[in-house]
Amino acid sequence: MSTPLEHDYIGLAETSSMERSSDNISSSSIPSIEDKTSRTTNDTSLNLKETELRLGLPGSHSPERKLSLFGKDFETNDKTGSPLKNLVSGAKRGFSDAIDGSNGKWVFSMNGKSDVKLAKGAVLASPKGGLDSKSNSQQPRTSVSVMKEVAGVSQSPKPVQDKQNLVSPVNEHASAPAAKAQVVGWPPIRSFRKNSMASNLAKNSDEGAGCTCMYVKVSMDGAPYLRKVDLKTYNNYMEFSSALEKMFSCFTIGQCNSNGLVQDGLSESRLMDLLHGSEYVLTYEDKDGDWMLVGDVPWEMFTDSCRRLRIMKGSEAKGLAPRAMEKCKNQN
Amino acid sequence: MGSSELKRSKDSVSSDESARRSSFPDEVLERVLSLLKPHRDRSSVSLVCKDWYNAERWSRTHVFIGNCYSVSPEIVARRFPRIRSVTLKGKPRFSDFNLVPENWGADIHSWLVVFAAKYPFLEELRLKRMAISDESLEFLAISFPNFKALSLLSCDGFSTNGLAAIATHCKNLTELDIQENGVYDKGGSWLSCFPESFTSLEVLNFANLTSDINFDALEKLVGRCKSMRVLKLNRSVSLEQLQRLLVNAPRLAELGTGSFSQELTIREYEELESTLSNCKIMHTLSGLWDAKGIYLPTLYPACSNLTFLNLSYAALQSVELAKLLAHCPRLKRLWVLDTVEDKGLEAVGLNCPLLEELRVFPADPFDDEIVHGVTEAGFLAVSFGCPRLHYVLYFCRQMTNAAVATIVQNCPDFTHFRLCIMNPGQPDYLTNEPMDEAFGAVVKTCTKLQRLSVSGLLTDLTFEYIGRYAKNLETLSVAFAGRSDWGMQCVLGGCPKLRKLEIRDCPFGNAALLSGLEKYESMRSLWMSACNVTMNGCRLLAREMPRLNVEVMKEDGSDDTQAYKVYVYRSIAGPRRDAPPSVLTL
Repeated sequence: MSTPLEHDYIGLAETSSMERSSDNISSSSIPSIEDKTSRTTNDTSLNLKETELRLGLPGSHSPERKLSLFGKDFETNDKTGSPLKNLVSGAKRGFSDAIDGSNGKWVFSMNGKSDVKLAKGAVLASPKGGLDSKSNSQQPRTSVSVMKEVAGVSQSPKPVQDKQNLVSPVNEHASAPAAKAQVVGWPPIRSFRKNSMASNLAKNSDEGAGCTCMYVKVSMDGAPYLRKVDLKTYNNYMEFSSALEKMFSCFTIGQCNSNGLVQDGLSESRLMDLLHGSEYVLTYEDKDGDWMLVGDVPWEMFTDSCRRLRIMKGSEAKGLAPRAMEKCKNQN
Repeated sequence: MGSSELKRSKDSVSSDESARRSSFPDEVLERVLSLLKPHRDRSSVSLVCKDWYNAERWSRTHVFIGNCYSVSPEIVARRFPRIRSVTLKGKPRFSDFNLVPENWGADIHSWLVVFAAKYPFLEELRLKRMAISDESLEFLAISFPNFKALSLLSCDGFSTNGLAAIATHCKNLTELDIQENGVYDKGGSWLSCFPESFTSLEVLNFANLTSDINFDALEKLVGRCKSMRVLKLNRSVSLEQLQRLLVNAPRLAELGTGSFSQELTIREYEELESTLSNCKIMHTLSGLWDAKGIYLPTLYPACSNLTFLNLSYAALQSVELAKLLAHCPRLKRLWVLDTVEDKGLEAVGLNCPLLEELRVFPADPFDDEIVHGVTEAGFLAVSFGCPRLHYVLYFCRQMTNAAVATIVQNCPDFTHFRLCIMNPGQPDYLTNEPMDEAFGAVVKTCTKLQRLSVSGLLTDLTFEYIGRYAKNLETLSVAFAGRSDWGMQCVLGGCPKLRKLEIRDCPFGNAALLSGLEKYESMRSLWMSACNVTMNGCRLLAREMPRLNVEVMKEDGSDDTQAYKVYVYRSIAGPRRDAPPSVLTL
């Protein structure tokens, strides 16, 4: 069983907080979770530390935190004991078994199917996270917090001591009032639901962030609606242009069904002819807001700077068109 | 019934019972009593007289044991010789939230061994919060040739290997219901263990499992089990696969989809829509993981008879929910995530006049800085539109006393009121006062209230109200609340029907604990954790009440005089012998 999360996070730079967290997750069989942590450290490291530390450090909270739990009426009462100590001892066995498994399968391993299959025939719509963009920005932190709590819960008592190493950073940042103690078993939600939501959020944070996928709008002059493509799924201009051709061939050839959607089995060569002729030119808007001709710069540079695409009628691309033809011929 | 049989049955009754001899022969009484189902009624019947006690025990086929340690399997087998169905509950409820040590107990195996000897024709086993190993599952599978129904809810200790054993050996299985357990998922091959000749399955729920299943085996299984009426898939099943399964199972009454977000072509979308529109008798719909709004319309035709819609794994927005609910006029139970926000709940109030149960779960329970979610406004909107509402579970980040007072005025029939203001000890956000009056309104207005979970900033006044007014309350859950022993004393002194009391992180101490001495024997259990109870208090309780088991769970490094976690329950089986070293029985 593959762990599909991993491919999205290869090669991302690790921050110091990531390294600390990798010390504390002592099991080597959860690479995907560590990777996810590194992925989500694109947030400020302060926020991430807050998040890490909120994950129930057993028995390691400071008295000040206790007060914030019980409200101002309560004195710090050492005799009451620490709710945070429950973190490890209350773990359900199922999770620790899941981590210890040799294939490292995590309880909330995700669907192996890729969300993005744009090149394969017409699709109904581009995939989008279930949560709106406002909440997407919150997700990386939350996904880390929930998953790490689960990770903490499942460990044997040994890593409890490891996690106590994280206490000092808590006190350093204790001025942040939002660093509330992550109380064990609160809010009262069953583990299965917690884990399901964690992977839900993780999935959505994949799509919401800018690094692992890059959706840009593609408009075509005269077409009734726009499309969205993920530039990250293509490796070069060839793949990209053929995907675009498949996507937009119906508009030029006029073979849409009554819903205006693409049908299977169209002739793509006609669009290529059109693109290579003087009829259409592929342009894009870059980071600075300028409209540029696609194909001038190396592919990686193009994907980094491209904000959206427009398939322009050749007649509008005065002066660009002859060059467009040349460029197309050179590349194809 | 010949007169000779009548005479014989009368002779068989001992002379001790001659004072109140039943005029019915035992056989008739048994036949009559066998029609009586609810276990509480049966308990009442058994107390009438010896004849009735005997008739009841011989006619009982289903036994419900709310606390597996309150009685031993031998005692059960001795009293009830003809059991075919057992429901057992084990660990305290707070084990769902990781507050109970992992090896605490509630292992099913010793029960299975007795059942194998005494109830070889056992057909049904329903377990909640029990520990069950793969070996136990295999033992179960081979020990009971008539075994039909297995339901595991919030259990742990087993893997998919155990499920494979069930699939392999239970030739007459009609129900396999695996819900919210801590399962070690080793893969989906267990499904292929159902033999080719096996066709009896009616209920299959494996939504709990996370790994990919063997779809081929599943498709064949669904194809040959023509009586299947409940099918709940796990997240790994795609939309396309769902469509293929449904083609073979159009008579499903309950469907749990897999992931509802695969990219579909037009033709696939239309096929799915058409297949779902055949599912007209469906009354329960769940699953819908990662549901994308654009695919929800495929469900509309299947929703006309829907009474239970579980969207708690689908992060829908308010508009998507509103559109979907417009097609669900008969809805009685709805579970959603708080991503639908107050606006979504307004749509609930507008579209679901028959609604009886609402559960709103938090999508982001651990992030305090989330601005959205639901507030008191959403709850209010539902209460205005759904006067029949009697069960609510509501996770929110803000609430007011006034809102709750209005809500219970709109819906006075609450039997289950579980309000979770997620920030512990948070007051009414408008007035900054404690939430005492909110829960006071609940217990004063909702006279049928059976279950209550309180939250927010609460003084002892809340508990005064509860003790005084909650005459039908059976289950009370308290966290981060109260000011002194007086609060808990009020509850223990009032609430005549209290059966389960669970308390965490409250300032209740020995005086409160010991004020309930007489009460605990009429209750199933008491849980107190992170309170002010000491070992001495617990020892005193154990000494005074020998028919109670008083268990203290030790924490590493904690103060030895403090009783950090206390679990008290009545038992006729005496102290348990399988407690781990960290659990002290006093």
